[in-house]
Amino acid sequence: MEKCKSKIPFFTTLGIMLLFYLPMLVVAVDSFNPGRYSGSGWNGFSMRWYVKLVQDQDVISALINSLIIGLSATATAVILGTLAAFAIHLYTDKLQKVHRLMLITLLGIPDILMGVSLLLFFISLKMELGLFTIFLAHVTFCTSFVAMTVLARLQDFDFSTVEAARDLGAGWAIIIRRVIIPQIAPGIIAGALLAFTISIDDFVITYFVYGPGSTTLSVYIYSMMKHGTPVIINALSVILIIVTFIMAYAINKLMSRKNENIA
Amino acid sequence: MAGFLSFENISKKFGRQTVLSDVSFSVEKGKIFSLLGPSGCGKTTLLRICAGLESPDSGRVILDGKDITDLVPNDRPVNTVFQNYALFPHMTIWENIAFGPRVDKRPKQEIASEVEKYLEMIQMTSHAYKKPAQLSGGMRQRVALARALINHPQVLLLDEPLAALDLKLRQRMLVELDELHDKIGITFVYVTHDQSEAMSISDDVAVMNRGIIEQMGPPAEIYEAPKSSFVAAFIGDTNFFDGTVTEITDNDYSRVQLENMGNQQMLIFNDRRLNAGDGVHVSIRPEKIDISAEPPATDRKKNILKGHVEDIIYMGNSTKFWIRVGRQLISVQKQHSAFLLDQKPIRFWLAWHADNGYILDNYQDADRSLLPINVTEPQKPEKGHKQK
Repeated sequence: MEKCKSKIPFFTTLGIMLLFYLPMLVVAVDSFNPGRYSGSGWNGFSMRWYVKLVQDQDVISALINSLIIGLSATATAVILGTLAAFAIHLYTDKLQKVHRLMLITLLGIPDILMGVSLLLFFISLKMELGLFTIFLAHVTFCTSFVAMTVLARLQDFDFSTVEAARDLGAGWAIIIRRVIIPQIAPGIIAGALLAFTISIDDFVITYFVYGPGSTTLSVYIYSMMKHGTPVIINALSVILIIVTFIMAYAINKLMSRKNENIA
Repeated sequence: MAGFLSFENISKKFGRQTVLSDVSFSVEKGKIFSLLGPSGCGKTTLLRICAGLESPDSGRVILDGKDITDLVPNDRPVNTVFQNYALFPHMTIWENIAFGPRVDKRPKQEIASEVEKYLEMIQMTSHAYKKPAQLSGGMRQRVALARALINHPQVLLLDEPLAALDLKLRQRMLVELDELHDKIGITFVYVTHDQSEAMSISDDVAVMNRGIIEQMGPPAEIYEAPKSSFVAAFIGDTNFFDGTVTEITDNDYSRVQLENMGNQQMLIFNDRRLNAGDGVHVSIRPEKIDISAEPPATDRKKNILKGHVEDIIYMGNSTKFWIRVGRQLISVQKQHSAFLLDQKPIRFWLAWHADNGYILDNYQDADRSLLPINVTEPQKPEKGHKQK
């Protein structure tokens, strides 16, 4: 192939990098700056804020809350989302078309709207706000993400392999474990990673439905910004960025494996 | 009904559409039985009913004296080779073949030696640890066969097993399948829409159309003595003639006045009771008609017609002539006719023995559309047309 001589792709890439990642770069550099206030100039390389971060009990407990929510919401969403994807893929009646539309809509609904509606809903049910209400809220959007990635995977799923397994004497337990799940696993894992990342990052919806003692990492970062020591945030942000990058890379890898093992 | 594998009065509807209506037939043990027909004729549904992947609305499937109609697929001593092979893409060839025995919970040692044996049988030992996507179509086909046969089924069902392969490979696989059948000797039920496949591999063929079996018998019988216009037109190529019986010459032959062809008459073998005045439809295969530029020698049982050349198509192994007699186009297929091509005569004599024409039991105008050229111009149905 001839080399592309146009400079446009280069400048586009550069523009995107600057726009998206320059702010993060600033945060990253600042996190190693031992000075107490941002903008006070470079005072030499230091891990001071990272040490401070891991010693902060509130950060640790917020992180634990985030992980509890992230893992439990993801696990629930994996089951619900996979089932939803199968229902939408296998049945093409009106109900499933509506079902599909509703799942996609959920991805596009403004967070603030979802936050408000969930809050009003929980209050009307007289539910106490806390980890459980955050969990329920996260399950709603996580399910959509899992359903979408599994649906994409199902496009390439050959259902005759299920019939072949039945023909070869397998019962449903074996078919699900040995034939269906291994084939759609990349979609499930990608969806789970996506759901987990978004759950950890979510602020707006969580802010509406969290209660005393259930502060998550994102909510805690916000309160630190308002009241406390914003410099630890830089260190925390860098860790979050790195984790997110690793997750995004894994998701991308899993989703692009789509056609590799299909005949 | 006798037979090893019997289908008794099978009917099946999908929604409002009738896919199978009251189909009955039986397959002898150890034979290759083909279900042949165009897509949508119900042949695959019949196979799936046999495999247990579909259940009939009514009717029974009997295998070796046992009613298997209500058994789930896992409990039937029957295995299937699927059209696109349906190999498990995430498993190696070895694991694919071992799937059945593993589900069956056979001892590990036995599974390993069995899988090796079948890998050897399909000459794929060196590919054991590849994934299906790394294999060619023919190889995948063989893996699908091994994966089914390792379970020692009493009947092997093959659903268009060669449809995804190219012509040369298809011919080779057909020979391999036949050899395999000779070696293991179990009953094969073979579904195909390709008449040459069905003809070359089967002991018996059932020709299906719109949910019924039109005709069943050995390939030669179906080709040589088609009972219906559908069978005549679907299997090979043919000419249809419409006419009216004018005279029963003796016990075996009758004379037929042909339509569309002026005053021409035809002598035809007649194995059924016909009376003068009956409308008949006759099928004559293109290769059964002799063609010559000179008038042929006459014979009492020979039909001779004179016609004009409409078209000559050279096809390598034979040449096809389209000859117009009156309003009817007759197709004739002959080998070694280079001289006819060189001379390019415009008039030909056609001749065929009275025994080569068959009166069809069941005739439908629509079946003419299966032929490459609609050999007569459209016409109004006439009073004398009785379906015999």
